[in-house]
Amino acid sequence: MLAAGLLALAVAAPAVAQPARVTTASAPEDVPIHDPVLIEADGTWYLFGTGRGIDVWASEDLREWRRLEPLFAETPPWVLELLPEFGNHIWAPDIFHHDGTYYLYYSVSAFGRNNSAIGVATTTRTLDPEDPGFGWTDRGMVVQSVPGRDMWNAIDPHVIRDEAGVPWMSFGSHWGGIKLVRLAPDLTAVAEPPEWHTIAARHRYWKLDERDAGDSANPELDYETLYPKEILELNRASESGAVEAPVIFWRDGFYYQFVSWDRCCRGVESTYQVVVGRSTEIAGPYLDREGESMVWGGGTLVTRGFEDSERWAAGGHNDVVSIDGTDSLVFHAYDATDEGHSKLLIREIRWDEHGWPTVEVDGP
Amino acid sequence: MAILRRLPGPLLRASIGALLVAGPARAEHYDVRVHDPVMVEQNGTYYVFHTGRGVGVLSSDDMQTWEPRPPAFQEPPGWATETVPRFRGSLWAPDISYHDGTYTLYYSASSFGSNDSAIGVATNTTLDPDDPDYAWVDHGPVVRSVRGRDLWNAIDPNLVLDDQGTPWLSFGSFWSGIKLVRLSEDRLSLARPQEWHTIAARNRYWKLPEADAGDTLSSAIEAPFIFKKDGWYYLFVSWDRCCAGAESTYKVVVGRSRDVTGPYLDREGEDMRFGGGSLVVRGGAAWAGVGHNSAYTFDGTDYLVFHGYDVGDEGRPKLWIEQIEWDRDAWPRVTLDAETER
Repeated sequence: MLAAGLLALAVAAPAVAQPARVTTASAPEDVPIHDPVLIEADGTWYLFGTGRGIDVWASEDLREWRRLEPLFAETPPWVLELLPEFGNHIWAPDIFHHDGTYYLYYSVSAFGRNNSAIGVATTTRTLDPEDPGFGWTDRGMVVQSVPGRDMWNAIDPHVIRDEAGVPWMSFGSHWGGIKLVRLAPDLTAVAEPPEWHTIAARHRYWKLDERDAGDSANPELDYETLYPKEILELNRASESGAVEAPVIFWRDGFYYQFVSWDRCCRGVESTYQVVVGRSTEIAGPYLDREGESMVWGGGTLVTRGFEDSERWAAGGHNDVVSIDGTDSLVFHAYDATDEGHSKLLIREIRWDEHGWPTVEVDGP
Repeated sequence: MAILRRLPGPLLRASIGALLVAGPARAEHYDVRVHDPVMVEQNGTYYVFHTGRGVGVLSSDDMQTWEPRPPAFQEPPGWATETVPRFRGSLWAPDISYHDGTYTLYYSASSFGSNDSAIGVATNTTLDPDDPDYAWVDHGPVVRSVRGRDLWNAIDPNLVLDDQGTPWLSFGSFWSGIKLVRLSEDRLSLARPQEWHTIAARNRYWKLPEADAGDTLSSAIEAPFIFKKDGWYYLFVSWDRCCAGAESTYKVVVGRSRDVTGPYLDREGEDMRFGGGSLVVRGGAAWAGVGHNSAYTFDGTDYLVFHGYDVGDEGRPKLWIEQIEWDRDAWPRVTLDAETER
């Protein structure tokens, strides 16, 4: 099965215009990355992003970057049982450090479908591949979404402990929006009894097929027969349910939930933007600046690309990291000067007098 | 043991004289108090299973005169008490079927208005409580729904076999409608890999809180039953409001499909996933709402089995067994006989 997958990959590869594989960079904006998360360990910054086996980069100063080996040399066996066609292209990781262990959550899926799962791998003490104690161990599946069963998609994880120390994972993409689920104390499974909440959503036209994320882009579906022509055009033109990539960040008495709206992954044609809401309780309700609940489409703009920038399209899929005491938005945007490839942006978050964050995409 | 009597409409005319003699006017009508009835026949005896503590059971030799039998469970299954919040021991909306020497009983554990629910399954080799082999063996939960995770409710199960003999379970109530999930060959758990479909739904106002089931203006659909006839799968569901006595507005609608997984289209070609459904039977002055049906063929005759809320008896739910009339386009209708309308 693996051999067949590699063969298919080899055949498919020449058809896709790939940039030369970049292995070093002298500025974040030169790092090709998608869905970045950033963590500091023992004086080194580690960056993880979507890629074959998960892309990993390291930097001592956030300027000079070097690519490390992918986290997974081979697809975890449980993933191949779930998705036999899976090509080891792993999406949207999250890195979480607790009590001497690093937890790397990751997404396995296929574009436009919610036949997906979130898995987790762990390593103790160090993220440095040169350290003799280094080594990732896969811990398997945390949560799975099943087409026809679930109106949500098990990708784009983010883990946080609440003020009481209870671990939660937020995740989700399109369909019915963003879920929050309590994790078991070992951080590798959903807690029992289960506790789930929907914490952000956007309007979804109710006559969409349940296998349709909201944008009529599932390659398995024959949309010409599935929908009347006018409904199909409406779907493709609308942003039905287009919310994903949650991150929850605690600051000054509020949980801030950042999500990305609209469309990723179309180069400079992408329309991603980051919006935010906040809540005094981790389970919500997260309200935007105008008091609209994020569950019902609320969200206050934090940053976007085009219109606010000449070079960068569609900033989104962010992480929030404190860098030397400065809260920073770590995200990707599509570079109009480089064929729309996605690059790493690290920007200072400005908190206004009411505690609302904004980020200038061309700013510091 | 109390003898309860009810008469199926088709049999009513033949028996009405005897009934009028038999007692007061009230006694002519359907006296058997049940909710969510399903039925099966074993060795000439008909058994009705229905909502109740431990799952209620009735039996009859003629579909007219019914007597109560011991409930399937003396005690609620321990797993349900442990895992279903606010479960109080009443098991809802069972489904009964027979296959290869085994009777399979699905049942629902929930609490009103909540989708923290589960469907469990038990088996028995006989339905006759006087048979020494009679014993319900519980096999635990088949499927569970969790508030905040699932926009559906794991109650109101019904087993159907497709043309290849593959077992499927349809179920659902309110929220985003009716699910169909493939079962393993032994019918006691979900098949792997999982295969799920939504087969019927009604518009749900998108700003309803996810813990809210919906109401008569939103999401009011439940109690699926799939009946195979002449190359069609007929999906019956109940719309609108149950369980409100004389205020109930329950009614039965139907759609059909050549494939068990749908799409189920109504008489006008509307997809049941998007609100379609053609009326089969509704209540009237005497029977406020009728619904939660099952459907069977006994001795070559198709019957719809359901409950109706008896306005003349404080809105209590009573057992109905009516012949299904099929029109020339093969759509089912059931007429509440005018003489049974009080």
